[in-house]
Amino acid sequence: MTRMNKVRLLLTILTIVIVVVPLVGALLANQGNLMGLIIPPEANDIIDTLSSGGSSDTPMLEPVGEPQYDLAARTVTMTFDFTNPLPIDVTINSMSGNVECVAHGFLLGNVSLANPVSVAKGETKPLTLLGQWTQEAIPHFETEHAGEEMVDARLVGFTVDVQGLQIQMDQNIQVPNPTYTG
Amino acid sequence: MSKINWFGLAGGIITIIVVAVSMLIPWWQITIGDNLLTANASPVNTNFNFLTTGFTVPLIWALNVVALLTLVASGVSMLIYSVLPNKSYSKDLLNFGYKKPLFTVIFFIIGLVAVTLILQAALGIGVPLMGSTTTPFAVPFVTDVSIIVFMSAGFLWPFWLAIVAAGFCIAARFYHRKVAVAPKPPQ
Repeated sequence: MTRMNKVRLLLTILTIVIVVVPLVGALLANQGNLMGLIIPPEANDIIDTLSSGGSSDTPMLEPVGEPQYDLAARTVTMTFDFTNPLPIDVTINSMSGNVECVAHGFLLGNVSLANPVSVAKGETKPLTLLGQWTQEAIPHFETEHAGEEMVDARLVGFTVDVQGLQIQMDQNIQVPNPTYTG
Repeated sequence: MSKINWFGLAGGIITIIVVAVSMLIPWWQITIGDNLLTANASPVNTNFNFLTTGFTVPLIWALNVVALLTLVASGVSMLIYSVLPNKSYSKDLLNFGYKKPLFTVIFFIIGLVAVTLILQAALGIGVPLMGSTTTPFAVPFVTDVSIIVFMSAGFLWPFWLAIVAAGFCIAARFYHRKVAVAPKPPQ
């Protein structure tokens, strides 16, 4: 066999070894669980920890104190205690959405998060939501909802930005009537 | 002075450099959310980070080892060939080494495109190869909630360096005719 042929043979064997050995090694390492080749244990751990979160009986959002109104500025400030149910630290970058009257489909205003909040796993931190009534909302409360302490409303396009993930939802809520005098 | 295939020498050196830097810097990276999930992909090292948890996929890890060893072998064979282009075995070394960086780049791109197409077809998730996008996710069994995910992806400089390495290695194949001495006809 010439030197040229030996080199050629050596390179062919090298190619086969390079391709076969790592793949066979991975197969042997996971022979008891072939799915482990594609889904590593760490991915399963992440799925398990995420699915175990949120099952706590403690509500995520608990109102703290009474909403603060400023009728002249048409604003309301609400504070909630937010308990992070996930086993990971999260940052709530923003919350925003419009508030509509359910009965009349009337735009009442909007709400937004005052400041981004970082909450460690299992930790509870206050969230401050700012509400701004539209100019037309006050007469609407006075004429259409006179005597009602709480008004059925709908959060439309309510978007929560958590860690860059935007969760959008429409949700029915009750808003305090700013013109209610009791 | 013996001839040197400078294209092959450059290709071999750059191929080795590509392997070394690719262990640390991916060829392609995608970030989902605010570093919620990051995928760092290169033929020699692919890993994922979910917040602070990093992990690899064993099958991809094995393919990465294949590509790593292939590129190292290719780079070394190109280096040996380049300084000894007129040995009897030089052509074999060149043939062994010159196509591998190009094939690695091509298979990497095919793999990326295939994964994005599969995600689009199977889950309806539009993953960008380059640039940023927001993709809506439907939440199963929940009609009033949708999730919008910000994704940002791009190729990093080791990818372009790998293309340069592949280019030099291909050029070395063409330049071989100029540096190779035709064997003397038998007397």
